[in-house]
Amino acid sequence: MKIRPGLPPVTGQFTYRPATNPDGTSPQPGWDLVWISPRSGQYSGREHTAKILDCWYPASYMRAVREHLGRAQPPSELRQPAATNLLGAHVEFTSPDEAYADLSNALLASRLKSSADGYQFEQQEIWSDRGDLLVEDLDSTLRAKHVEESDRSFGQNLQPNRLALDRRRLDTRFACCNAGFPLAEPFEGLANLQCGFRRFRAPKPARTEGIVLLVGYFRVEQGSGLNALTGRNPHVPLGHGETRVGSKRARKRIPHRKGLRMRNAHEARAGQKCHRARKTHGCFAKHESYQSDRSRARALRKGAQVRRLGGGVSSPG
Amino acid sequence: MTDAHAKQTSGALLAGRLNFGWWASNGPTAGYLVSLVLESVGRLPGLDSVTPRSVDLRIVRLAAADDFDVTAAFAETAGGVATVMVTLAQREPFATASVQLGRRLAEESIAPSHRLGGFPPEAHGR
Repeated sequence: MKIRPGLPPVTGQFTYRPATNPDGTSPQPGWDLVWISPRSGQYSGREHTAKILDCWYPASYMRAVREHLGRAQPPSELRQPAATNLLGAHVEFTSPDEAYADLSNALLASRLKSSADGYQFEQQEIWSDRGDLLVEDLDSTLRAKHVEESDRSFGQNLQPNRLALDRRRLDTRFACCNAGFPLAEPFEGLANLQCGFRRFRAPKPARTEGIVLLVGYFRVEQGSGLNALTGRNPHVPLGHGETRVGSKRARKRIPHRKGLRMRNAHEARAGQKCHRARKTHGCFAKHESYQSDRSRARALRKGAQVRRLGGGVSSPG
Repeated sequence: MTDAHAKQTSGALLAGRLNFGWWASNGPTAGYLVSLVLESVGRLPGLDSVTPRSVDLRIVRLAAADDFDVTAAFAETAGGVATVMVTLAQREPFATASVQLGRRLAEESIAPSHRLGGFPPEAHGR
């Protein structure tokens, strides 16, 4: 695995995608949410699932980004939070065996529960894309702020092995006396990314359009139950506190990609009549663009919120 | 397969080299260490087929991307639940963990009372 300069090595193990609302807002303030996919192979089982813990930025980082954006200050005033040292974790595996079978997409949610005396208490949860709570890191990663003043005594205990990095396998840029990684560069990138999602027009306009269509799709159908529409969508699979027996899965599942149709945003959906479908290609595209604008405007007028069952979470960028 | 390039030695459940690819800021992630703990416990006789239910991990000092081993300090089974305490060391301990494992006791499961929702992974593209 290649270690990318300026980034924590663990980020090379996964790909990350945001789970924010189309306008970048946080459905549940205080939580950071990010989609995680393993770069190599398919994850399954508890051992693999556990590896997802801690693979995203500390909650204190995300909090700092949100606060910075909330104050609308220039990027030059963005302050990197103090680095942290992991002290411990209490991990519980909260789903039956079959929920850990396939983990091509997982939702990592984390939040900063509290911070006291230089110690930060985080909570992390890992959800499958079928809506199973796979791992709960309750007591969570207990971190101490690695601030020079308050952390000196603790740091002394932690120092001895820092020099023992295996330099034979490392890029010399990382083989300095400190095994720690400066996160300033990715931190700025994180802020920029978050900022990008805050604008309604995300960096990829075509995708944004697709998202709005998706919102409309949800809204139209939500009365008849989201389960049937979402397929592998993590919002919904089981009802609130619904009892599941054995390996029983969500009801009314539909095949993967049949529900979301994200890659066919211009395509008329099943049951949706398009009276101009016989027009020439140019006119058709124009018509579709017009329809798309209309649905976007409609979604905006109505608040463009995706309905969720249970709490939603927020915005890692 | 293990990311730690592990091997089993006579005294240790697991031995190998910590993979620097699992470093966060200045040490291995909790998830990586927990996965090593689970792999180690799975090598204990009779526990390979028992499901881990919880892991309590405590870091003693910063680990290095260097050789390590995992040893079991205590293992006890009572009431169908096994409790194992392990130590991860690089010459001296850098972390300890206790693991509880147990077989399935009932068929019924109850989904969590709260539910997280995020925009689908396909929504923002790659």
